[in-house]
Amino acid sequence: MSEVKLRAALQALMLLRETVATVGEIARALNDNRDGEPLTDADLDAMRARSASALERLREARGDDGASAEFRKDQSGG
Amino acid sequence: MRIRHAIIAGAALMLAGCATTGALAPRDARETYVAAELTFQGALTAAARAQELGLLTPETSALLFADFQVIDQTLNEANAVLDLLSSESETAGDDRRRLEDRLDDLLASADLALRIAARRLDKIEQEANR
Repeated sequence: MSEVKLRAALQALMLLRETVATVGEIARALNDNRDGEPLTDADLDAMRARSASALERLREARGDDGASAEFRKDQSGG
Repeated sequence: MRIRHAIIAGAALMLAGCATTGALAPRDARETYVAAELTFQGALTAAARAQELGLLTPETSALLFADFQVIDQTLNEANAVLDLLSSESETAGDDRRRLEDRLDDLLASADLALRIAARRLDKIEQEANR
């Protein structure tokens, strides 16, 4: 396997791991709510704050026209 | 290269499906809100990855962000309604029923918007694989 393919496969595995972690987080949150301490308003507020923060980071990562840096490089032939 | 593209979109679709119809099946509005909030964070992660991989055009980025703005505002309001509902002494009778109906509407809207964002990520994958 070439180095490029190996890197792509590793990136794929990282993405899969992140996805499974997110689904696992949902399952844990719901199970905790059912079997342990119910989720409080403060817990929900914290989730809201995390989402808003993630959206803000993504917004900041955008270029002026909203395109990915890689896309802009491709378009300019760089 | 196709593998990573497939996983970006697959992740988004799987996460969107978890919000209301997945095996996790939230029991009530509060749990549906939790699932929607965490699904939103998953969709944001998938979009950030697509951005890092250089897959977003100005058009797709603008559409995704419009979806995300709608989801963010909807979940903001849902969170506020949940706060009101948890203070039972302040809401009773018809007021409470109206708030519960509003919460159901908001969660249905958030779920729909999450699915739309997931479909957009799916299209980004298809474009990238052409």
